Amino acid sequence: MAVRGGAFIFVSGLTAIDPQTGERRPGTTASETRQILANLRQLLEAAGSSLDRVVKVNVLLHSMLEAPNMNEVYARFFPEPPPARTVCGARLPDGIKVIIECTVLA
Amino acid sequence: MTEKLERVAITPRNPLLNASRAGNLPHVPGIRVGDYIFLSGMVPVDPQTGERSHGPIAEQVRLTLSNMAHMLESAGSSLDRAVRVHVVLADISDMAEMDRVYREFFPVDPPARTAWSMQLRFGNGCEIECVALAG
Amino acid sequence: MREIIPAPLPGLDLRQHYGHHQSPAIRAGGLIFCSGMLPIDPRTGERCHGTLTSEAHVIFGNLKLLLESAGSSLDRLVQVHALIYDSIEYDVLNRVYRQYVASGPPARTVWTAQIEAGFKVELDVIAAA
Repeated sequence: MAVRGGAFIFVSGLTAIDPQTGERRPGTTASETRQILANLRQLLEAAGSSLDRVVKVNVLLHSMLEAPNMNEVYARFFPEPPPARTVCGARLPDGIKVIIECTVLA
Repeated sequence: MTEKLERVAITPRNPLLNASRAGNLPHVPGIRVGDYIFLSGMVPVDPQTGERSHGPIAEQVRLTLSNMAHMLESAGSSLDRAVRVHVVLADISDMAEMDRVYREFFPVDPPARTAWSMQLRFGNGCEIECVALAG
Repeated sequence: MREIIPAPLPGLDLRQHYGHHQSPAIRAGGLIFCSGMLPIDPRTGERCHGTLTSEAHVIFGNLKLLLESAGSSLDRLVQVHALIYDSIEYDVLNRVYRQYVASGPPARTVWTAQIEAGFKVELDVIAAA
């Protein structure tokens, strides 16, 4: 999921899964975003880092129409000031609505 | 004020894998900066002939990752020093096959990965890029 | 620590104009990670829809402003993800792109993706600080 290398931690593209079981938790773009970011917060804290050390986020959406729904949830997770970000629409696997990857200061 | 990091272009020992030069394209195969090497996206090219492969996706992924290994080794690094990989597939249904071959190249402690599908040029089945720790 | 690079001109503050929860760029570890740069007017934040070429010119102009305000420059680009709306515009992208990265271009991957607001091109870049 996350790999430490040099000054940074590189986090794989995360999807909405149950953090204990790894089971997929499909939902709306908003609910999937929420699950992903909650998992990310846990993951980073376990690695001795935190959401406020994220430097860059890439968000892949199954449709750019969903960007506002993603953004509304996203804004609640990242404290001020937020990391840099790029959002685009692409074909995602298995009906997944959103994938989020990031690079974090270790 | 910390010293500014220098950027150094990297090129593959095998010139047939230098798509930047072959295509006279405005990019380099890769750049080393500080502790990192950033590679441009790589596609399935036969390292003997320089020709694109349009075989089954497993073969395309294998070729691309072999070429990526060569690229990193040319720069004094290696595939096991990759920290982030992006795999783009032309066909999202190729994910499982891609993953099967991918695991052969990253059997232990794999890098961070994000995989998805987009329209690719020239009929390529995959395009793969990575960030790796310099040697 | 990470350092926020603020918008050098008000139009490049996408949070203010579009509610995008992102900083324009962040400096960390000797690198500058930029948010995806769009063809928007750097003074007003207005969208500058056009051809892929005209949009790319606006984007590069904005990146130049942003990177130079952070003590970097287009000559110090390390990696670019060039998002284009359709791969048919690949050659068009190269023609305009070339004009800005002539001396020692960075690594690049071109992504054919759905870009916001119907823009034809977006550049996601990392530069050396």
